[in-house]
Amino acid sequence: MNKLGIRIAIMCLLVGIATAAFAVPPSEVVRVQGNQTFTGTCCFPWGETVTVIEPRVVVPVVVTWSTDYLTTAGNVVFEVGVSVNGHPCLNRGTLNEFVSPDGTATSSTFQWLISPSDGLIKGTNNITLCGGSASGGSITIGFNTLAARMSK
Amino acid sequence: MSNLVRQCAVCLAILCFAIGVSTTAFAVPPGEVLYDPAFHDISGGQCCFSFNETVSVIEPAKPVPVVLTYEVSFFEGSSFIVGLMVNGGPCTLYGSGFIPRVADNNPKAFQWIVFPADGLRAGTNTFTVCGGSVFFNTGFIDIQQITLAARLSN
Repeated sequence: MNKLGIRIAIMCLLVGIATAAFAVPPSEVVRVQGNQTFTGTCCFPWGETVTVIEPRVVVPVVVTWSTDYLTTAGNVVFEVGVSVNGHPCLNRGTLNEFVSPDGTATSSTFQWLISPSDGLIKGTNNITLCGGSASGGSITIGFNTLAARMSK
Repeated sequence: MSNLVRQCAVCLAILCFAIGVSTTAFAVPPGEVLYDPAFHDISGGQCCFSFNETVSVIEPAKPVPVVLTYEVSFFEGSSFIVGLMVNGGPCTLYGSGFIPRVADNNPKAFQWIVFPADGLRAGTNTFTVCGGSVFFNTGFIDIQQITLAARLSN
């Protein structure tokens, strides 16, 4: 009976490990509830990083960033993308000028697919939001979220 | 020998049961996604009130963050703001939320992240889209092709 108990305990441990393997580490999501203003030519880090832990065979990562923003006037265009493990800013999208007619902001959402060839490595990978101006001016980023998810 | 075989069989049965339970826990319940193609004229006035669009997730004993995505096509209206009511609580911004008065007819997408400290609990948790006009009691917005989805993170 003792042996049976030990075997059940080992099985439970194995199931626990298997379950933990499916869990998503906490740093795969970031939420910012405040305003940040950026000025300067693309590209520099925007201070938000998520982390994914890649298995031995590295798989693509889907990163989604959703933000409120407004810009200064004057045909302002900002680029935004992600930097993988300190590499140059990739997959840049654009945030076009938005000067609100009534003082509110607008919102925009980006989704980037990061391939292993973009610099992902086995183990811990840091994915940092980056960008900058393509035409001068400044941008104020409001409430935003950054989330990474490994593809299957 | 037969005792050993019996014990192994019992262990295998327990393991299969545990894996089955574990697999079920990872399945996506129907309540985690919502699709509403209908046209809605939302004219409840100034923020905040419920848009009557709800999804739910089942949290484990130790709640983990939830990532929600909301996508909507809008046509015209006032400057609006959208957020979430977690388990019937107050309407709160868990990420971006502005829909400007400038109508561009393009779909708008939002990603919201709700952490355990925001009021998540073990078991069923509901997430209801809410919001309203930023400025006016007479504010309105016309929307359709709504999707709302929630997934557990950690």
